[in-house]
Amino acid sequence: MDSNIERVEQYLRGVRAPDYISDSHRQQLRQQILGQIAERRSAAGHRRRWEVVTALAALICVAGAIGAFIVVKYGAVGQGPASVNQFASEGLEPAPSLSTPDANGTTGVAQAARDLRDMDAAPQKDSTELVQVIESEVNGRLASRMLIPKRQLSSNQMKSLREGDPEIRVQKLLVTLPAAARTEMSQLRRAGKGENLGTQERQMKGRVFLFKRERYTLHDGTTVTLSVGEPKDMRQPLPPVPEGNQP
Amino acid sequence: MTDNALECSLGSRTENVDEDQVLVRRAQRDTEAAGRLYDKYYREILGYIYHSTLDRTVSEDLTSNIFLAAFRHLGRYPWRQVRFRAWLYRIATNEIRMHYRRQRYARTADLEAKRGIAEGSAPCADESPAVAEEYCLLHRALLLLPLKYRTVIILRYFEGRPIAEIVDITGRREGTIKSQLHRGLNQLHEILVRWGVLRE
Repeated sequence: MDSNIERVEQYLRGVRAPDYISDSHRQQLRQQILGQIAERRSAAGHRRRWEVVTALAALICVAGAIGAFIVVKYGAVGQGPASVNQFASEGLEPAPSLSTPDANGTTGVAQAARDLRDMDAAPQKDSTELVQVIESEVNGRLASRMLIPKRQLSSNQMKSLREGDPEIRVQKLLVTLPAAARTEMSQLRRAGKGENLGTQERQMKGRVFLFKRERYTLHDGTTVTLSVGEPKDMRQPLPPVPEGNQP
Repeated sequence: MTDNALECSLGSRTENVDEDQVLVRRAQRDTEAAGRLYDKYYREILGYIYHSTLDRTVSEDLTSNIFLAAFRHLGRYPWRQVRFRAWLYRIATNEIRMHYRRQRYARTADLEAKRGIAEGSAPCADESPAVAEEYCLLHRALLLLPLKYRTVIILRYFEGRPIAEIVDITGRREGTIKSQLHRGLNQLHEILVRWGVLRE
């Protein structure tokens, strides 16, 4: 058996295998391969460029989203009188008078944002003083209660800002007036067409407040009673409370 | 003397492997390195395919497929497992297998062997008629062997690959390769004896 293998091995070693070389094929294939490599390299360059562009776009989107979040949180709601920027904090009523001019007399967004942060932080620092309460009743039901605390900012300025009473919110006692009724109510209030109901003494947040009550009757018969309360022992007159959202 | 020869052989192999490693790494980005790598192995691979198929057109087609596939997947080349040459031969062996599968060669092998090789792929045109005739006869005999036996015989006796490299190329164990060689040679002997090429 092994001699058979030896014989066939010997035979195979004696056979000369023919060679085949094709220069034209070699050149053609060479060009094709190198062309493909160059193409892939260029495609990879394009892809890398697109990746960079996509990454940048994503980065801009993220930055935009963060910016939008900040604007929503401490966002400007437009410009009030005398081109003063107006801002509103999340969950709070718009506060047209919040922005304060800086030392140069100009109002900056950064300054306003700082003020808002101070205002937000003030309750934790216990540097607030409740100076006014505005209540409204629609057809005898409590519609809203706005608290106006006076807060000391980091710039040592005292500011007041309208805030909804959190207790009222939690209890969901609010009765909302349609927009048209709110506009009518504002007009009546500006025209001074309220019926004076006298004053009422009540304790709020551990302080005695004197509420001045006025009743307004809308054209559809809805009665809105507005009570503006101030601490009985308040010495200084309050800065004017901006007329923001009426109940 | 033997030691010196061994050292020399080992040295040149390491050098070759290192050169291939550098070329393969560079070839993914550098067309010049890719060209050098291609030039280095083109002739070997074309020769292997030609010895396996004895068909010039098929050899060119398969060689194109092999190199295009190899350079397309150069990034996936497993450096630590197999040498570049073995990797190329492995792709080539698979291409040959696929070629025969596509052609359903198994069914027509006998017929083709009898009627000889077609004119378009006439082998050995540049060789002397005797050389051409001798290899053609052997090739006909090889075509009658199972592909796995044919592959190891061609790799061993016509490409001059050592057993260790055939192990790398085929992915089979050394014992299996030796056994396949043994069986293949036996069958080939039987055929050649039957044809009167070898004495019994």
